[in-house]
Amino acid sequence: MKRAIRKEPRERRPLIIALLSLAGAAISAYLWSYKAGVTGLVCGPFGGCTTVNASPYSEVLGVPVAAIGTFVYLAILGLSAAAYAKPGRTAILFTGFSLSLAGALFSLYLTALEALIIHAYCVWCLASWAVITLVAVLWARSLRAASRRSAAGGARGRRGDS
Amino acid sequence: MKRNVWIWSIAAALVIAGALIGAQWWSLNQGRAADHATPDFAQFPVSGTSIGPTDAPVVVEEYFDFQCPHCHTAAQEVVYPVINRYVSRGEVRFVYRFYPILGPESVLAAEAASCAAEQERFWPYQQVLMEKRGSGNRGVYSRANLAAYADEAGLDRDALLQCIDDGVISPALARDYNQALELGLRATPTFLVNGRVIPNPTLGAVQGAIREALEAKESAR
Repeated sequence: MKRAIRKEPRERRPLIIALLSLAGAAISAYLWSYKAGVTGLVCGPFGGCTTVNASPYSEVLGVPVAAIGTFVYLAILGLSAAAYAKPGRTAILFTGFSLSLAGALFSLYLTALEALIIHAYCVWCLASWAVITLVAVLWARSLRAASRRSAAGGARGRRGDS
Repeated sequence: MKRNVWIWSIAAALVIAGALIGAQWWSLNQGRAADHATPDFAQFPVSGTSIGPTDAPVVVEEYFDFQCPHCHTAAQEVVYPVINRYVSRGEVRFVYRFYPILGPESVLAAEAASCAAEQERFWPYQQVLMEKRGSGNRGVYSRANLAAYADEAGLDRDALLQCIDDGVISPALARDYNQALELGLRATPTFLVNGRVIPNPTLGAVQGAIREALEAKESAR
C-alpha cells in the first residue's frame, strides 16, 4: 500500500525575508565601510549619522555594530535560502526567528541610546531597525504557519488520515 | 511542542541580545574607571583656564558656573574623561569658560578662579572648588572659604585675596561672560566642540562631536 508523501508547500515569505536581508546587509555594510574610513556617509536632512557612528555605543568589544549587523543579515539570508529549499523545517525557522528577534531587540536598544544618551538619530540605523523588525515578524509568521501545519498533521495522524 | 518552540525562540533571542548589550556595557565600563579618574593636570600644557596643546585639532569649551550642580557632575562625567582620553593624546584642547549666572557666590568663585588662573594654578583650584559642590549662595564660596580652598590647592593665599579684593573683574571673565551672552547661552554647563554648541551636556554627545571633528580633520588632509 502506497502512502501519499505530503510535501510542504513553498512559501513566499523566505523570498521576502531574503530581499529584506539583502537590503539590511547593504545598509550595514555601508555603515561599516564608513566606520572603517573606506567611504563617506550620506545622511539626509536630519544629520546625526556621523555623531551616532562616532559614539562609543557604535562598537561591541571593539567590533563595529555595523559589522555585526552585516554578518547577522548574511546569516539570515542563508537561513531564508534554506527555509525556501526545505519548507517547514522547524529548526531553520526557529534559528531565523531567534536571530532576527535578537537583532530587532538589540536595534531597539541602540535606538533608545540614540534618543536618550547620544541625542542624535542615524536614519540608516533606523531603517535597519525597521528592516530587522519586519524580518522578525515574517519569521514569526512562518514559524506559526509551520507549527499549525505540524499540529494539523499530528491530528490527522491520530485520526488515521494519511 | 508548538509552545516550546516559541518559548525557546524568544529565550534564545533574549540571550543573544542580552549578551550583546552586556558585552557593550562591560567594555564601556572597563575604560570607565580610568577615564573618570582625576587627571594629573600638571602633566599637560596649561594656560589660564585652558588645558592641552595649543595646536590641538579640536577645541572643547565648557561654559560653567561653580554653583551649578550639573557642572559639578559634568566635571567628573564629561571633563575628566575628555582630558584623560583626548587631551592626553594631544587631540583636544579643553577650555573652561566662566559664565557665573547663579548669584553673588558664583561671581565671587569665578573671580577667585580667574585670580588663580593668573597664578597659573587654575586647574588644581577649580578641582577643589568643584569638589565642594556649593550651590544656592549658602556660603560655600564665601571670601573666607575661597581663601581656605586656596591653601588646599597650593595657591598663594594672600595674592589670591589681594586679587579678589582689588574688585577688578578680570578681562578673561568679562570676555567669557560676554561671549556666552552673544552665543545666547541660557544654561550651564554648555559644551562647544570647535565652536559648535552641543545640545546636551553628556559624555556621549561631547565624545561623538569630538570624534566627528577628528574624522573631519583627518579626511580633510
